[in-house]
Amino acid sequence: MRIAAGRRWEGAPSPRPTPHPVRILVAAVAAVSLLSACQDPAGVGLGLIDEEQLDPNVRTVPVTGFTVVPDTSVAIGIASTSSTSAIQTRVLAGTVADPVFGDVRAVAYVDVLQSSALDGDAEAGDVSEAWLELDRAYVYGDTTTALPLELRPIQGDWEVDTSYPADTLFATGDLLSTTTVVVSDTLRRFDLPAAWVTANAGLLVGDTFEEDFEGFALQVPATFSPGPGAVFGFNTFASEGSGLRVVVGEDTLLYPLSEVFSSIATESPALAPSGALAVRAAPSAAIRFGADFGPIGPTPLARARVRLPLDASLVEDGAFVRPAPTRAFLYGVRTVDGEETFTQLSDNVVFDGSGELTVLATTGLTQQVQSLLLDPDRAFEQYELRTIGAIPSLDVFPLLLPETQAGASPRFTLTLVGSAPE
Amino acid sequence: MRLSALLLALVVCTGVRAQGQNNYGSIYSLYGLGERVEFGTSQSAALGHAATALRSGTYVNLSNPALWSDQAITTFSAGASLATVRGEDALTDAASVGTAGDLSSLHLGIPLLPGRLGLTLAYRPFSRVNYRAAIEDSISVEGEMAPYTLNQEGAGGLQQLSAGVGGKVGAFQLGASADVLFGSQELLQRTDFDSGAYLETRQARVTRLRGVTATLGAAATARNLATDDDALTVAASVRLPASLGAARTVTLGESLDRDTLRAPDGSLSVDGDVTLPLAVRGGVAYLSGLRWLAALDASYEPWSGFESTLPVGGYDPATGLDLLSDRFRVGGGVEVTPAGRDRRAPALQRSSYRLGGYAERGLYAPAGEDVTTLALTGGVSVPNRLTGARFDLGLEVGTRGSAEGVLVRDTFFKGTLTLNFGERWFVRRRFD
Repeated sequence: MRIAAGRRWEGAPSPRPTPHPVRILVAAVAAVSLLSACQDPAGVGLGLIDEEQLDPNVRTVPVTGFTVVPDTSVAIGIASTSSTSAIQTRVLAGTVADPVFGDVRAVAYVDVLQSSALDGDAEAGDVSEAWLELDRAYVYGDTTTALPLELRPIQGDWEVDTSYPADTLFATGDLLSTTTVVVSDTLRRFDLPAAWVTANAGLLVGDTFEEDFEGFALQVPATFSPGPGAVFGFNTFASEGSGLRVVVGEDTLLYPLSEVFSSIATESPALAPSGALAVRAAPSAAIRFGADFGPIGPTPLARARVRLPLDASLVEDGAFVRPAPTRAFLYGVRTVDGEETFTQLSDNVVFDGSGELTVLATTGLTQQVQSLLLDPDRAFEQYELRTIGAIPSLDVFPLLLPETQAGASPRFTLTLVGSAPE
Repeated sequence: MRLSALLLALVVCTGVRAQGQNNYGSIYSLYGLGERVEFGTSQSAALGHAATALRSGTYVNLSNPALWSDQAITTFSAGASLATVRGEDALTDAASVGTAGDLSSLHLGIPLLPGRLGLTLAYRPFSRVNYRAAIEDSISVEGEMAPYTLNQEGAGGLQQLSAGVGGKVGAFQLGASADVLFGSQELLQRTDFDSGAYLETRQARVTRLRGVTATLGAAATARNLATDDDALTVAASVRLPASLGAARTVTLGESLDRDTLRAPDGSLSVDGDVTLPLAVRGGVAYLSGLRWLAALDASYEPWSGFESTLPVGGYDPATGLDLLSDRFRVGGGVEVTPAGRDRRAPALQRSSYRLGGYAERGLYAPAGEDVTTLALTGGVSVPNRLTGARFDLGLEVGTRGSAEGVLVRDTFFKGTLTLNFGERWFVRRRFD
């Protein structure tokens, strides 16, 4: 029997494979890769190391010299979900008597845009009803208050601006309706009288709406006597339900809010607390303080936190509520060429519920403080705490004053590695 | 040539990949300028590192420049190694296991006068620092416990770049090389917290060193002693003491984000001088008919004379700390190639099989105790289809030190793979 060359006859012994260098090489490379993944170092050999061991330790840097930076200018913003520095997500209306932090009177101004769903063929005769709806989502003051709010038309132009005095009042027209708001309200309806609807039907569906319609004001009646009263906050976003509802034909159209403004007038407190800072965020007040990191020196830093104790009894006093900031910014302030410059250290200073304003997400603050430790020339002259201007509020900062505290005082808490324990 | 280049690149990439890992080795690498690395050839590595008198037509012996005159063809090689070290001591319940990869060496050897005068360019590690010891603890931060791991780590080492010639002068072979030593020693304290709210801190004391020294070598060979096909080579080499310039910085952070901390005098670095001791090697090798080879070596480095104006592991001029001692090493091994000179024999018979061992007293004596290393070496060298090319696998297993007092007992396993190529470059063929 002949066997074709190159074929292996079934049953014949297989040629014995010979090791080939490349095969061995591939196997060796695989072994190298496998072994290199193994590592499990432990404390073996620490007794041989004569390097100075850098143990973690905690140091505190006291916060000193609280000062308040009043800001009497506020912005007229726009209620837009688009990214803009002029965005305002809340308007405030009401009045409250607060002897501790001072009385407040707030008037909300809102303008609206014509609905994008409006049929171009709509006529004045098609408009049958209209009302304003606002999503209530904030309260300052007595939560049992039944607050009457008058709805009036704004008279005269007003536009988005960045520097209105906080207590600016716009001229308004005759009373349209009065609606009582309570804390349990969510989406609150402010009716518009039929006469107003009829008179403005052409404007509501006309081409000159944006130019000729100036919006509404919400304010307490001049005769209302707060005892102690409340200021309510309303979301401005259409996605939350806020806007002007207009019934055109069989459709109820939403005219979303556009320009919004909260006019806030405050009085000095009659009974300012002792031992705590009587500062309210409104209109845009900020708090400054000092902290000297110089004595720490160039030391590795694992974590930096700012901890500012509050007088929690001032935040909530029975049915009377003064919200603490849910989120604030911390800046470092230094003067460069005669002008103050601000470096954001944290955008997430929060009231943690345990009685302190603190930073929970500390990575950014830690990196900033670490750079201060390494280079004293970069030290800040002061630090500033400021609420978010896009969310107007009456939030309070009842910070316990450093000089009055026997226990926990306002401070930066540093977890260092390597310096001597305090 | 293309295949050889491909294989060479593969080995280099393997070495670089292993080097790129966050590798750890022996805790003893903290002493001096690191654990000394000696590499002559992949052949000598399997023969107990007995390299000084090891002549070869295939390998270029980096231990002794005198033997570079043996080069008849242009050779180049690359090797990678991987070592696993298991450490244990009397103070810790758990053992530590570290795995470190390395690029063993690269060289290019060019015969200027084949068999009489050879030029060699070589890169190889001179020392390695790759230890880690870790301790777990926790700290109370205003009432909240924050667990962390404190790591003491060493990294870096010196590299050696050599260029030299070896030639035959009468009955002797003589050679010399200029050796540039450069590198850094990084002693790092890294603190890693369990909670992501804390940042890892890394403070490193980095000492950069560089300097130049020279190595001189000599060898003599006697032939036809017991048979008409044997040879006995006696050789010695000496690396002269080296004065290295040093600059030390203290850094914080990692990689490109490192910040250099100022010294108390305001400077960013502290300069100093480091004097490495000389190294003396001597050895004999006996070759019988290309079938049997035996080699024996001894080396001595008086590290007790080490000087430095900056502190290094186990040595601090400011405090008078000096834990360094003279390093002494003896090693030897045997190689057999069953096929001898028969080039037509099967590959397995043309392969070389090696076995050896060495004993070494380390360059450190912590707590006044010498640290001794005992190791067995072995390997196989497989010829491939490319003329003059060999693929070498090497193994090394041994122990170092003892688990008494503060000392650590290492048990280590090391594997190496090296590709050696030889081709005729620059040499005119006699017949076309």
